[in-house]
Amino acid sequence: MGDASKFTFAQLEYSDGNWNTRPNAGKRLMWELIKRTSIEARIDIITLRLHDPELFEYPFLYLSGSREFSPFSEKEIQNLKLYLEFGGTLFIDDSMGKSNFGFDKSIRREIKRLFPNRQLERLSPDHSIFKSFYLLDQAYGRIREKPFLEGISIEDRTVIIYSQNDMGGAWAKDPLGTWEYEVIPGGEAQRTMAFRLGINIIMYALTGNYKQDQVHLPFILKRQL
Amino acid sequence: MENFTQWHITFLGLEHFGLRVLVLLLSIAAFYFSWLSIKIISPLAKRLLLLLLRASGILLILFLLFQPQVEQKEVLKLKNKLVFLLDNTKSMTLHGGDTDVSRLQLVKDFFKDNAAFVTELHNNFDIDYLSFSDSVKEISHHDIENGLVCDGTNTDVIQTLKLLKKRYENTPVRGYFLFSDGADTRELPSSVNKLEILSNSANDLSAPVFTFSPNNRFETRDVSISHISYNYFTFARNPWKARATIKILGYKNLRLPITLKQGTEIILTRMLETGNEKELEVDLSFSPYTTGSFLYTISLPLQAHEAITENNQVSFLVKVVRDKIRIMHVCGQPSWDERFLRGVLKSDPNIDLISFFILRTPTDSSGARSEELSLIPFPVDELFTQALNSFDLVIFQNFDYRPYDSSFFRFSHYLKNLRDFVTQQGGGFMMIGGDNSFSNGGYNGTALEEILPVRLSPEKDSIDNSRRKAVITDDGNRHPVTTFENNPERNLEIWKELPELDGCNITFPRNDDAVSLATYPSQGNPPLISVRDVGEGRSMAIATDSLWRWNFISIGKGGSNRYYIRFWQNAIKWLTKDPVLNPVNISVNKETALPGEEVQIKVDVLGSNYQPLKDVHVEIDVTNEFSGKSVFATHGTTGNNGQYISHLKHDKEGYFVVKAMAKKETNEIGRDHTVFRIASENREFKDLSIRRDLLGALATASEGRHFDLPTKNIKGTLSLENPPVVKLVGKRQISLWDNGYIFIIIVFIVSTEWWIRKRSGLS
Repeated sequence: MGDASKFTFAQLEYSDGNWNTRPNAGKRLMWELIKRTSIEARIDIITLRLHDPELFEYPFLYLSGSREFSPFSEKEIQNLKLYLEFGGTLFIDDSMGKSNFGFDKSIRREIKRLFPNRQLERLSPDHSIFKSFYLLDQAYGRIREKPFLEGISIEDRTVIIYSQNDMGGAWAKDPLGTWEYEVIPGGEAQRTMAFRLGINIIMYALTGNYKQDQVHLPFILKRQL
Repeated sequence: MENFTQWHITFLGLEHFGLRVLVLLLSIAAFYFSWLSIKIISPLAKRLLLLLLRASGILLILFLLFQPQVEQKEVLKLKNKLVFLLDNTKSMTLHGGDTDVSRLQLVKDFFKDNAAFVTELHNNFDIDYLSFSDSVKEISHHDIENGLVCDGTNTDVIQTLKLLKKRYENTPVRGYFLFSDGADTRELPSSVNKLEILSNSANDLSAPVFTFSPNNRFETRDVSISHISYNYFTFARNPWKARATIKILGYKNLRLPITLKQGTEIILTRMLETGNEKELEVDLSFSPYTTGSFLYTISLPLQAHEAITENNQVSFLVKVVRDKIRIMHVCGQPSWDERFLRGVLKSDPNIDLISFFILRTPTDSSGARSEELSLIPFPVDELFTQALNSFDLVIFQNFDYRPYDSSFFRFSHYLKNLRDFVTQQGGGFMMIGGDNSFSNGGYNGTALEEILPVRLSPEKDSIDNSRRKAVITDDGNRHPVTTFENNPERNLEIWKELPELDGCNITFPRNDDAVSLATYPSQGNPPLISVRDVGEGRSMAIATDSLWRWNFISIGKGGSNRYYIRFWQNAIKWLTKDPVLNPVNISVNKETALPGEEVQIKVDVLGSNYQPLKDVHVEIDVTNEFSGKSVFATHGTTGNNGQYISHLKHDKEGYFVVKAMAKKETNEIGRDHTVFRIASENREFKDLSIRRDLLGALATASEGRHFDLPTKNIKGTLSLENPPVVKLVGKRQISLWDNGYIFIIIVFIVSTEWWIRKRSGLS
């Protein structure tokens, strides 16, 4: 049906810092998403700011960076909180991957402002994100800073997913078809897994805990053994 | 009976025997020494006088010490008692075999044929006549001659024996004469041996029980449904089972068609071959599709010479309720529309959701081996054949069936199952739009199109991608699915405030029974939300895959998602025929009432906004389920709470249908009906066999005897002990010692003796 009903990779723009570290990453992931799954997606990514009236047209947001950035305004925080509580999903990708430094430091600060009573928690390997399409056992990206994802859940839905492995770096391909960044230490196999995890995250945003339904469990457990 | 008096003397003092002997010895010694002390006194006459006085004194002292008392007893001579017990339950009216003689007539004949014996008993014994069922009542000999009324509804021999034991606890009963068919209806736990309990109870009477029952020739001929085991409530669309116990008395090799009916509609029939069996068990099963209370009847045809016809048919009420609403959600691709709908369905604890999402199509290349994927096979065959009936609602969301229409699966065949699931089994079906829905999904010309509330294009749908707001129709503004607020004007405003949608599948309205609730305001105003009652079930079509925008976009605009959630709640209630959506709801406070007992009938009337509707005219009519004859009719007006309550008392037993119709001015709001039963408990005709075994055991345990009726000369075969019996009716005690005369006599004797002794010169 209309383009707006298709899955759209919406990237969050913010005032300073480096919000667009991997400009070609989202587009590449959308190519792969369309090629590999039944999801109807737009190739082009769009950029949004938290105060944009269009924000709620896109229930999936991608936020990346490599440096510290200024705090969001109070209105932006309230808007994002409403967005997350009523159905939106925020995927945060740290391009630098250094804990308590630069981008990570700013992100943890903003998350604390968003949900003062919650904190980022490590997502267990049993989490639906790791089996929403591909069966995975850990987190992947351009680097292997943390073999796990972190997140914040409301009721049974993880609304913030945080990777510090620079997943965008693994997805990015230049217009001539060359991978923009070397993937370390796992090489191309690690890149493959990073794509799979990216698709799983989108699939999770769209289907939630669908794979936890009783009917799926015997099949999944059999394959995981 | 004669009266006489008995006398006894007793001694109250010096209870110990040794003490009494000691006192006597001391008295003799005192008398001896007295003799020695007066031996010298002369003349002899004076000596003898003194001795006499001393002896008298000693005797009087002994009299005081022994305290004698006389007891007078009034005694009555009695007759021994005999008790005649007559079964007065309804089964005693049954005729035996091909004869016209009832069981009760055989009892009456016994007293006529053995009149001399009975007269002799009357002369020698005191006789009580009692009738028994589940209680015991005194009757007279004349009642037997004039015709005993057999209206007892339960034979309870154990209870009767217990009551007899209590009644005759201190009475010299020499025998009980029990006339019965032994059709004991008392139900005991299977672990309890009824014969053993009966025998023990008979033994406790401490007198022989002589039992009399009709002989083999009077065995009743009957076919009966003696017992039904069933669940009094069941779940819609689930198999309901009943087990009927059929008893066959006096017939062989019957071919019996057994029929199960819901109201007057036959649900199933089975043929039974009885052979030589006397008891058969039959399992009956079917799946009800609508909720409510229903009257079911199991019946057998009448046979020639059957004793009674009432037990060939058993009716009972079953409440069909809804379990969790089971929804099968088949989605052609993950999307935001699916995502937000699933959120609503999963958050409702009353919904059991089974989802199948097509995450990958045959043209997609996942770049991984299948064991690296979490995909599972789509169990098409299982879902759309045997499992289909377990669902209340099936949702196809942007789903194209054709990739599954292979030579192996033939999904097109399952579409027919889906049509039948809706039209015949009362299921719900919803199709939600998208690029793979309606005729884009290949449903034009299929069995599924027959049940949709819209017509499909013979070619692919054209899709209007323009962004527009849905427009509610006049019908939609009154329909429970699309009514979000009570006030119609406010409801229209809400619809205007809802966010724009993002496109619409172009389908066409049907001209028959489908209702368009909302349209898409593009060229031709194609139907956006349509509903239809189709056969027993309901269907709905939503020609867009962007309803999620009513949720998330509303939030972004500072509103709420409550109307999105309410829309889905309303839609599911309507599709699954939730009784809450019935504008008129009738209920009774008792499903089974006794004759003459008050039954409350309550009618609740709701408006199209689900709010109680006051000042509505309600008409109630209560009819007999089988005759259709009206037994009660009334009318009234609902109050502020939308309720009208009436009360009914009816004496006649039976099943009754209560119908209610509500209307405001000339507009009918709706109708509803329910069923209730008026019945007194009667288990007498469930088993018509004569239980000679039970009566025989009872007689044996009490050292009595069992006799078959007719018995014309019992005098020669039965003798009864008749020992004498006396009864103390009065008693009087007269004390002989504690009075003033004894004291005066003692003083006189002692004084006289002292005076004579002084005059004789003794000290």
